[in-house]
Amino acid sequence: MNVQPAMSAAVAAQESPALEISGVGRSFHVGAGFLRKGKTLRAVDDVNLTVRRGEVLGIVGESGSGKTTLSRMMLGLMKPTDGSIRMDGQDIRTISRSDLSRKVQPIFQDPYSSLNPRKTIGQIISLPLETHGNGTPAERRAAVEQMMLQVGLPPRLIHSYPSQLSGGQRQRVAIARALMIRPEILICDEPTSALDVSVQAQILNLLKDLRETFNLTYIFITHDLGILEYIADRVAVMYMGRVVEEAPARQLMRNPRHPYAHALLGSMLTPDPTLDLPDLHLGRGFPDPLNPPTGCSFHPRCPKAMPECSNLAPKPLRNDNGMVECHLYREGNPQ
Amino acid sequence: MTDALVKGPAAEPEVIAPSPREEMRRRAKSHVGLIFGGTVVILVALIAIFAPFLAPYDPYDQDLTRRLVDPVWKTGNWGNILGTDALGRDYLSRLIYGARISLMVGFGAALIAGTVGSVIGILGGYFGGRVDSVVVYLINVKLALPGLLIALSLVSIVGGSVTALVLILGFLTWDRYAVVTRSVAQQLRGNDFITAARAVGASQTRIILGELLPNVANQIIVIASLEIAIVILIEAALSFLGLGVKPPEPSWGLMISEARNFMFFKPHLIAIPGFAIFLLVIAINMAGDGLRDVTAPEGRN
Repeated sequence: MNVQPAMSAAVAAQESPALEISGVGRSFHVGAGFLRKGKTLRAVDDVNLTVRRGEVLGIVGESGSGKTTLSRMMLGLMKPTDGSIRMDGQDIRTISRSDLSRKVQPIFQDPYSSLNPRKTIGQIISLPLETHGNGTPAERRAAVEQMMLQVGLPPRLIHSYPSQLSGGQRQRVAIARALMIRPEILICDEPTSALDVSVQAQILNLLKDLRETFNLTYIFITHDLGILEYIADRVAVMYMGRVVEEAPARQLMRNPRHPYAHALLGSMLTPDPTLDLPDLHLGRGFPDPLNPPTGCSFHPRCPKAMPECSNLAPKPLRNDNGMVECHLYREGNPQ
Repeated sequence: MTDALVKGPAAEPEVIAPSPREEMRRRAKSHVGLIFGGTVVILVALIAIFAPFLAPYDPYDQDLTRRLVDPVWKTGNWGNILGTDALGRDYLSRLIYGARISLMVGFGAALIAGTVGSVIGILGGYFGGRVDSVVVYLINVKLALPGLLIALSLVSIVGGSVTALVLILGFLTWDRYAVVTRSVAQQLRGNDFITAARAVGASQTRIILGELLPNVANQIIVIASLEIAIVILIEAALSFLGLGVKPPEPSWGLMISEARNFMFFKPHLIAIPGFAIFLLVIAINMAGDGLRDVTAPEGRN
């Protein structure tokens, strides 16, 4: 069989992971001014993640854990200060802005701020096509109507303005816009947390269906573990800019290993009125990211903290299907 | 929404709210100030455009035998409806041609100031950082300048003409546009639709012109309407002081100035152009307020 070079390159691209994040970090200088030395805030610190094609990776963590900074770096809107992000085996720093936009697109949390209030739905959805100069106006319009049907929007809304739409419809518009240039990866930053509970399920189902139709890879950033259980294949738990545990979604839900993942699971509210608010035993609040704790950054809140936790940072312990970063787990003692 | 592609427990309720444009039209129709102000401004503009057809006489034509003729309500003579001035020129014709100067200076200066100020303000607000520092510095310098004083001295150097006034007043009144557009652009820049446009690969030019500008346009129009009124008053003041439009041009401010000597004998010579200025400025102000109410109802009060 004579395999053409182009074919083999395509096959290689198929086999390399859709997204490879290695050693990525991002620090910000805060409060620096003239003759005044600022402090360094490490929003994201040494994150290693690999996302296979067609996979749904959930990223979970409380506010300030670096989820959104990581997503902005994956979109190429912010440059990492350390490490590299590769898509289809190619470093995103070497991919042009317009090529990168064909690979990865965002879906935002707030469908009220993500749509330009002065533009019609048709104009909003066709923006990616106009930016890339694809097709004639008539072709663009046909493509927009086709996409509106696919995300469950009646095409007659094409001349409406965002203010005339409900939250769920707006989020569908945002999804349609993201899909117009057929990206491979969708980065969904809390795509349902601004919606009513009944609409959340519709949007989640839509995203699930579109994943099959368009052969998409999702990065799902959220603080709602219930959503991840439903949609994600694997989950990475972030704390203070680091990934502290990574595991298949089901395994993480049933048997969280890191104490922080355990606490997050315990924080899920159940619709049982006899139960009180869950007690997380997390003690003090989120530590000041400008003065991170020594050793393991979780030790001041950790119910299982040991003496060594306060002075020695734990090393990541990897196995076949995940990773955990905690002194409770040692090589040869995977509990 | 009975489409098969819609999944989930229940389809979302259909929302058929009126479009923003329809709502705006509805608010405009019930806004008395906007209707009154807009009508007067449009009327004055039409009079200015069609001045040669409307004016009964040449506004420059002197007739020293017919000086200081009283208006029709005193003489009953319809030959010179508003009478004549000290040089025997028909007052109505001069008033009609005067509208041209007021509007040209007002709109011309607002066009220059609006362009300069909006470009500076949008760039500063959108890009932030060093660009914004420069913009803030420029705005502060402009605010520290004694505007009227500079206008006076510049006019006395280059001489008064409509072109000179438009340029000078245009480059002296851009600060309000810059301040407002900068703060609006700053608010908009953090919105996700800007991030979405960047993620789609849109250029900065496309983002500024296509995404930002439509959201700033209303504010620019509202400031412009108020600034036009201010500039018209400045032009009248400069012309009154003899530092604006030069005689024999029929500027309203100049007409008041020329009538000063006859103030106690022929008060209508001052009252007529004075009332014209008052009416035009208050109409523009009412139209501007109305525009703000209609386009940005959330910003009322």
